[in-house]
Amino acid sequence: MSEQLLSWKPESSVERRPLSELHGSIGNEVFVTEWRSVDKEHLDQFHWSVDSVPELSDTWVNSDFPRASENIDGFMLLSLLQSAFFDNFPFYEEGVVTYNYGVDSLRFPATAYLEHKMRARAVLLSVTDKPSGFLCRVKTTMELHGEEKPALSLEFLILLTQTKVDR
Amino acid sequence: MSSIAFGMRGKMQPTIPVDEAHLHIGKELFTTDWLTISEDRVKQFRWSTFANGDDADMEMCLTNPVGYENVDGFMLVSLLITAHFNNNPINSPGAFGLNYALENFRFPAPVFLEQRVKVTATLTDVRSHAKGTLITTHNVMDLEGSERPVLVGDWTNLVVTDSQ
Repeated sequence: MSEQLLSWKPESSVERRPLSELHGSIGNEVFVTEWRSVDKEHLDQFHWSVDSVPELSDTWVNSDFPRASENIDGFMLLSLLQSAFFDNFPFYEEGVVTYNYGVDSLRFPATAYLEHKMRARAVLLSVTDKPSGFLCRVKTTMELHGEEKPALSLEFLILLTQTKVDR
Repeated sequence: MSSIAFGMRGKMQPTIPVDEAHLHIGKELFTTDWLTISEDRVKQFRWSTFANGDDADMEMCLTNPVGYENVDGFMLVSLLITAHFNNNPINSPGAFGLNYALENFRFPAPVFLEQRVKVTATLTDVRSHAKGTLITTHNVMDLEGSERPVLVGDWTNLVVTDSQ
């Protein structure tokens, strides 16, 4: 399986749009990704990275979950959005830093398994001018191919700013 | 320090059966041990979620001079799974939890590689659902030496037990 199949990179490159176009894009779909899937190796590695494995944690909660080893964790779906946005969110200017500001109203309407192909869809709901930049509220869903309900639905808050983080 | 992530401190207290959880609304369920967020762990997380230079266009985050060292917000969210697995005292035989909802998640302060965090969870709501019991906790992830937390948010799990 090639890396290309798994990453969220679009088949043609994304046309960057200036931040001045943000307000005019409220209510619009700002991207939808290609259909992609996750393999067992990445799922296992995700579990290791957060110690969510029987060797390192008390995973009683999942032991009776149907097809637990093939289920893609809700938080992994959420985490996959980061790269989906890196590769597909069009609003960007040189020097602008994009911060994960927060998450509201997140639900998991359907269960995702390894065999599913999925894609992320983003609609810009609102843009708030802040002293530090623009706070975008983006309705985001992770759709499953062949399923009516998405695996993930949320309002993702992204801060686009020129302010750099200090150590 | 324990080799178990976030320790098992919360599990030292008496178990709270799922059907008695409502008696504990408003109470702190647990505070974990400190967990060091190592570079190895962060690298694994980024590889597994395709958030690395081989798989993704990282221009947006690498314009931040400390972008590489800044631990991803969604990794902090994901660590809540382990914090709860290892410490949440609410349990009944044969019960399993389904990740149901997140509300009001914010990341007030940044975390960098090799810093230490711990999680405090307070039970805020318990309600019945056709398939089980919805259990909501308010979670605060604190950073060692920082007044501001690095994550706050409300997490709801649907806990299904044998009897349901």
